[in-house]
Amino acid sequence: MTRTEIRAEPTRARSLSLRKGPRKGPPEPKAAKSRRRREALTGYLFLAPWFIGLAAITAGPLVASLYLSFTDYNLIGDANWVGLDNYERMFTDDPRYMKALRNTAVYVFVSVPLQLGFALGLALLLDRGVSGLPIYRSIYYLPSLLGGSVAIAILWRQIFGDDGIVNGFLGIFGVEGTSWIADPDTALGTLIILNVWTFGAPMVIFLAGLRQIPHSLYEAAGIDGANKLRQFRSITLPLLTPIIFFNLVLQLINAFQSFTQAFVVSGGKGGPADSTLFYTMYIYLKGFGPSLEMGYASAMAWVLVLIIATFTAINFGMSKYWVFYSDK
Amino acid sequence: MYAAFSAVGVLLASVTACGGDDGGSDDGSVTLRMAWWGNDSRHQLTEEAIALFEEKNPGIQVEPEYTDFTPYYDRLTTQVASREAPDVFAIEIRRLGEFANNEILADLTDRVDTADMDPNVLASGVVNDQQVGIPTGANTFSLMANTAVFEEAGIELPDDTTWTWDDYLEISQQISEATGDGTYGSQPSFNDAFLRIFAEQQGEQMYTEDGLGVSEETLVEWFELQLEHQDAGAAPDAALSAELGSSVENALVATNDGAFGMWWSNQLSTISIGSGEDIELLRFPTSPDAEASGMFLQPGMFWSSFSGSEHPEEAATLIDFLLNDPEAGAILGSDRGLPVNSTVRESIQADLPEADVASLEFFNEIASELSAAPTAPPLGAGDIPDMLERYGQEVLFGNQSPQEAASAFLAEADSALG
Repeated sequence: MTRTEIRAEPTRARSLSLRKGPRKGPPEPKAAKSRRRREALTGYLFLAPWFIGLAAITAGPLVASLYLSFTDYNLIGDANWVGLDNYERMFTDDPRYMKALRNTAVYVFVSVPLQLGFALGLALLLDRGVSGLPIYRSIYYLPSLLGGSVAIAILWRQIFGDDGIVNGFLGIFGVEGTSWIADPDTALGTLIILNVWTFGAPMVIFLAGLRQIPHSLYEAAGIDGANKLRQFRSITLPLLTPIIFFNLVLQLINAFQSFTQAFVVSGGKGGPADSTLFYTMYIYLKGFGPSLEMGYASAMAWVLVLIIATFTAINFGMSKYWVFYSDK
Repeated sequence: MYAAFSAVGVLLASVTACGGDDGGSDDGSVTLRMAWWGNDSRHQLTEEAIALFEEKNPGIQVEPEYTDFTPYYDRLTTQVASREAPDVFAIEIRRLGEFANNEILADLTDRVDTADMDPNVLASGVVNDQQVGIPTGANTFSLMANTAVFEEAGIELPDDTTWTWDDYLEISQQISEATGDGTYGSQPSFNDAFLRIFAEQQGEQMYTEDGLGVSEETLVEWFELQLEHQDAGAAPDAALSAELGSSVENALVATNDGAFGMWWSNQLSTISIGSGEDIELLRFPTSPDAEASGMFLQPGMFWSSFSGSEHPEEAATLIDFLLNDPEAGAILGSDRGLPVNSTVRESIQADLPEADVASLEFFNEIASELSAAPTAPPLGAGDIPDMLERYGQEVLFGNQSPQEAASAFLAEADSALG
């Protein structure tokens, strides 16, 4: 996109000058130049709000936090340079960090595939021409809007608590359940379910993707005698791979950063026994907790940036082996 | 789409912060900013007191900045980071040391009248020989007993002047057995105040100059005690205990599902209102060879003043008013603990709600047995309470034995305390 736009500009300028300028010699350089400059200025002006935002709100703190990650900054005092100590401590002297890393990895690699699977499955069902599609679409999309909210996390406590709906339901069959959100063996599972439940957002994108697949392809395949499964494997899936890829990248990044649900469900502590201690939550607890280890928290944040960047890069690297762009 | 807490967001908050005005204005009057946490009733009472202060001090305006407890320190520390902290703010003992050592807190010695305050409690607000915080009120960590549950079980309240930890276990177990499903004798508590009491009984200090003063042996016993209650059915199973956590609204004594609970005395009114039954304050049990009751008075919170405040005199005046003015005392009541100023306490005694009268009587009853009020814990100790809860859960869930948890806790605590 960007490249074509840049190329388009001089072409346009040339054609303008051709129309206006004399036949011989260089075309009125002054007028063309000033017009071009004005156009560029307009472009930069349009960019400005975003750019100022990036520079003031994101870039500055980003650089500052990189610097702070090499210090013992505690938010209320001075920052002293400690070199790589924070990074070393993370991997050699902090079992809780390892636990947070493990919890997050389990959460990401279990909930994202499940969530995308549900999203794709439902999108396929809804795409078969269900009447009242907009209603279903809205219903399934709703959890995505609500899933990250505090209210839903509190509801989750109610559902999976000792007195919750789940245990009430199990009680009918004489099964005595535990407090699912407070048992270290199941607490993370309830959060995974919560994330899977918010499959509506990728589902809507899948639905849009399915609509893009030309109907004629299915007709042609039908005439050639391909059954539904064959059509799905040879038409739907390949043509949907860019969408799957997009959803995968997005949801993976989202899952790595999830915070609110675990924070509310565990009462802000990552408990019981650190079983819901997510990476971002540990950053928060270290940075804003009583010990105010903001330098250490900054270092953890940068490692998370690297982790997410690595997985995203792997995703993009692998994409050339399985993502099919029909316009190429 | 997701209210995800981005990694960068954390750091963002550390660098950008809300601005504040310079506090001065053209007509020579001064504007002070004042921050506290709490619920709606506290906000109302405090704003009433502020209105009275402004009336009595025409040159000073007070701008309140109150929040819920959860975001309170996020906001306060961020404001401190950008040197925009409120002139006067509330702070807990566990945060006092960190703030004082970073020279965030102004020395209030001789600037706030403390003549009528209990010197023992006042000492809690001293760090590095400076009075960096003035206690708003005193509380004691106590054992609360729900008399209705005792009645239901047909069991008499224990004599709390003589009872032992074994009695505590036995009675709790009897109550669990005598009452229906879902009602328990006791509820585990990993509050550091409980450990402090338990350690004092063994002649150990919670903190010494060099760090943690609790021995491994005491810690093991402390974890074992709580595990025994769970195993004997005196206390709920681990998952329910973890779900109830340290939330006072969910306390078993407050929902009439438990006979005993360990809570701060200022939580008595919440618990009484929740249960609607008669709740008794009891002394903690002791071991037969105990050296002390271990119980102590601790300020619930402190008023502190920001060292970078442009109006230190006015800030001190405001703190002085909140704690020493009888009219302010009458408005604020015991909301932040029973007033430390004895004159104020006596003047409001007649108007105190029932729960506070009970606390006050209990204070007077145990006054002669109290251990010294805790001083601000050493640097790095702020994480200890959460650490205790974490290892406590490991023990209750059976992931670690009391012995393993005790040594792991000590190792982690030692490295936190540097």
